[in-house]
Formats: sequence, structure tokens, C-alpha cells
Amino acid sequence: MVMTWVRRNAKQIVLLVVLTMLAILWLLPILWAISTSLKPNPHTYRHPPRWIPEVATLENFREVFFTIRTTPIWRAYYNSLVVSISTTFLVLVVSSLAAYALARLDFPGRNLIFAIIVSSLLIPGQITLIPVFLRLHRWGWLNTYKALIVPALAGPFAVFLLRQFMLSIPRDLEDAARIDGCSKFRTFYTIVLPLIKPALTTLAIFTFFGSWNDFMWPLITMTRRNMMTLPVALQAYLAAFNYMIEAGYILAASVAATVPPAVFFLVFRRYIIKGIALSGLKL
Amino acid sequence: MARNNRRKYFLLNEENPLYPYLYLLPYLTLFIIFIALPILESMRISMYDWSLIGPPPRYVGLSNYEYIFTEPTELFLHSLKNTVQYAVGAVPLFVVGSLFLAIAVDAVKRWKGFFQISFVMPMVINVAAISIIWIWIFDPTAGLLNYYAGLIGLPPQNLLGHEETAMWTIVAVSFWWGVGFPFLVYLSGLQDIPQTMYDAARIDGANAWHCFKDITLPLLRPTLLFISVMQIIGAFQVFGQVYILTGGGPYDSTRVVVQHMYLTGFQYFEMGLAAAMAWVLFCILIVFTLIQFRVFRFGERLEY
Repeated sequence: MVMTWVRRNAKQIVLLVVLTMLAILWLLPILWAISTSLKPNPHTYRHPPRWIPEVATLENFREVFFTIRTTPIWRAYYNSLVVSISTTFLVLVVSSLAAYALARLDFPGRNLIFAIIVSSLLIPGQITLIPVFLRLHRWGWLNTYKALIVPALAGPFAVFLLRQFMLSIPRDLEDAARIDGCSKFRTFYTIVLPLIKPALTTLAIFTFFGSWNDFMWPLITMTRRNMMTLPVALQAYLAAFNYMIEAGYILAASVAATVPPAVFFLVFRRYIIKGIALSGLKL
Repeated sequence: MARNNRRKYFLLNEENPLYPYLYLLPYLTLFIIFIALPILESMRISMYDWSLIGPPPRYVGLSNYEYIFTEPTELFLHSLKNTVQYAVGAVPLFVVGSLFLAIAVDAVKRWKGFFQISFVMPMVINVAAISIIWIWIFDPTAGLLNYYAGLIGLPPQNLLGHEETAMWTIVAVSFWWGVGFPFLVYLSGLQDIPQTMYDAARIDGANAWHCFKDITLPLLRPTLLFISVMQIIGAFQVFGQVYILTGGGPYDSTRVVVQHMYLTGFQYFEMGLAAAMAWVLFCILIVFTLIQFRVFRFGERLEY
């Protein structure tokens, strides 16, 4: 009985076993980080390693949230949130306006402007890094939120994506609105924007995570402790807490930075997964 | 009449020929200041001896380019070589590894959602947290890895601290972190292949290998190409995890191009040299970016 069942489902059983082992490999590092973050510092180096802490404490979290040794985590959180939320909101506004003009309005130079914007997709970010840094340096923008938000609004991909999406929606609704005397801006605001909501959602998620996880640009522009975003602050924790000597603190900071995005992902994973599939460009 | 004219030339009037530019104005201003002009400036800077802390910039022609390739420490060439090593490890791993993962999750009948979450989850975590979690696991004295390796009789390793293993370890961590994206793109590609094709092939007596070779692979070809090109471009720009996991060490064995550029520009403040390096990187990347453009016809797709 059992043997025939096993034989019939052999393929599924093997798949399940292999995938479960891999999934464990993917999840254990995160669980180990959580476990370490709950241990008092002297316990972190004990052998054999204990997955369930002998003594569990939130002391590490208290220390890193309000530490005076380097950027307190609450401050890094605040910086990251201000930057990511503003960037996402402004990218949506600025890019959708431009995309609407490029998709639906007629004016001389439209195709040329679009061609220039698209061809700038060929240029990797490293090219503009130094000139933009020097410009912000001249303007005294380093160590301000503007340094992270404003240059991020110039990215061509958002405009490109939204324009393509606008072109793919039927014109009839807009024409009907026009005949009813709707102004162009109202057509844009009340008809086009709701129709491209899937693209806007995808773009919002990508922009938010892009900004939230960005490392190199804030590493260059945010050198003052109280202006560091989460990834940059975390990186500074390694040195501030003597590399791994005080592992409990460093891991607590990492866990604090990991859990909210992970929860966000779990809650919105349908949108995120759909968005990624969309960005793979249904070919 | 006069009143009419005033209204016509008022900017917010839709009849005004300048009206469409109002929509474009905010973006275009930003684009010019932060993309278009910087591209030109970057070319200019790369031809200057431009130190942020030294004497004023001095025009030197192409000698920055010559210098980075011929200077005695050969660090740029060395970092190019390391970047290629990273790409040689990471690109096949990402392209093939995530394909197999996607095929397995597509085929499995239970816990699909759980597997999907497990493999995609690390993607939303920032690079610093990822690196710290793995540094802790690889820790030579307290690390989990050495403890369990010791249990099965392996000698303790310092994977990130040895020249032979450091780069491959970075590749492995990068895969753990970034597998989610290609995995999901493959998965959605696989789900687009109609089941009827497999059913028909089965009736004709095809086995699993034939189905994979003659149905899955050909139909996934565009997706495979998309992922490959994207991974190559990404591999040449790798920075964050290298910067935190090893800082380029030991003995510069993991120093990569973008990191070398970062150090040149923002630790030694040699802006001219760093800009020249960026353009060399551009010359390498442009080949792959153009393939991407050609294959996916940016600017034409979805145009009706």
C-alpha cells in the first residue's frame, strides 16, 4: 500500500523534500539573526550555538534604538522613511505628468524629447555619479534629504514605463470626456490616472524599495551621523560596535531594519509578485 | 479682442501652443540638471586632473584613461579581473539556478506559496542587513557555519578571509539575496506556457527531458535572454555586498570596479580618474545594454 503510494508520488515527494531543504536554507539565516539579536552580548559567542536563547532580552534593541555611539536606529528609520516616501510620491507626480504629455499631447519636438529620454537609459548610473555629487557639493546639498530625493526624480525609466502604459489604453474614454467638455488636466487626473493604476502601483513599489534599499548614493552624500539612511547606518554599526565583538547589538539593528520590509512584503506580496512579473515585460 | 488674446496666451489655456510643455517642465528640468548635463560634464571631468582637495582642475586630455590602465599598482585592471570573476560565478548561477528553482516550484503541488515567499523574501532586505547576517554566519570563531562544519569533521574555515574563497562566497550570498527577481520572472514565464502543449507531447511519448528541451526552453528563450543580459549588467555594477562583506580584501582579491571607482573618487578625491573609470565601465556595459534594447525594442513596444 504505502510503497505504491510512494512510487506513484515519487516525483512530488522528491520535489517537496528538495524544495523544503532549500527553503530552510533561505530562512534559517534570518531566524539565526533574530535569535542572536535576542541574546545578551556575552552569550552570543557561546558554543554550541543555541537557536533558542537561554536568556532572551530586548536590551539589544533598546540600545540600538537610542544609542549615542552612532546613528540611533530610530533616526535612521526616520531618515529612510522621509526619503523613500517623498521620492515615491514625487516620482509618481513628476513622471506621470511628463508621460501624459509624451503619450497624449501634440507639440513640436515631442518625438525628439522622447528619444533623448529613452536613450539616456543606456547610461549607467556610475557616469552621472561624480558630476551630480560635485553639483550638490557646490550647492551645499550634501547631508540634506534633497540630495537623496531630487536627483532620484530625474530617472528616465518611470517616464518610459508610464508613457508605454498610457499608449496601451484605449483613447475612446478620453475622447468622450473631451466631448463632454472635460479639460485636458481633468481628463488626465480623473480618467488616465485611474486607468494606469496597475503601472502606478508597480512603479510605486519599485521606487519605494529602490530608494529604501539604495546604498551607494546615500553612502556618498550622507556622511553626517544624523542624516544616514538605514543601509548606511547599519554599515556604520559594524565599526561602531567593534565589528562582531558586540554581535547582539549589530544583529538587533539588522533585524530591526529587516522585519518591517519583510512584513510589508508578506502583506502586499500579491502586488509585488505581479509587479515583478510585469517588469519582466510579458514578452 | 484684446481680452481674447490675453486668454489665448495665458499659459494654462489649452489652446496655447506652449501648454503641453507645462506637463513636461518639471521632469525635463530635473532631467537636464541631473542626467543630461552630468553626462556631458562627466566626459569633461574624465579629461581633467580634478582633485577635490588639491590644486584647481587641469586639462590632461586622455591621460587619465592611459593612467588607470598603466599605473604601477594595476589596481584598476585587477578590479576588472575580479569583477569578471564575480560575473563568471554569478551570471550562470542566477540564470540557471533560478530557472531550476522556478521549474521546481512550478511543478510542486503543495506549499507553493511558502516556497515562493522563502526565495523572494531576502530581496526586500537591504544590502547592509543581508551582509551583516552572513558575516555573522561566516564568523571564524562564533559562526554557525564552522560549528556545523566541525560537527561533520571539516576544519574551521574563514571563507571571507581567504583569497581563494572570498569572491565565491560573495557570489553565494548575492545569489541568496537576489534570486527572487529572476525566479519570479521565470515563474511567470513558465505559467504562460499552455499546459496543452505538454499534454500533447506526453501523448506523443515525450519524456520529461524532451518536454524541457523542446517546449520549455524554446518558449522561455526571450525570458532567458532578458535575465541573462540583466544579470550581466548587474554583475558588472556589483558594489554594496562586496563593500560590506570584505571591503575588497583580502589583499584586494575582491576589489571590484565600482568599488575601486568609489575609493578613487570619494576616498582619494581623484574625480578625473574616477570619471574615466566610469566611462570604461560604460564601454563594457553598452554592448549588453544594446542587446537588451534590440531584443526588447525599447521605445517601440506597446506602440499601436
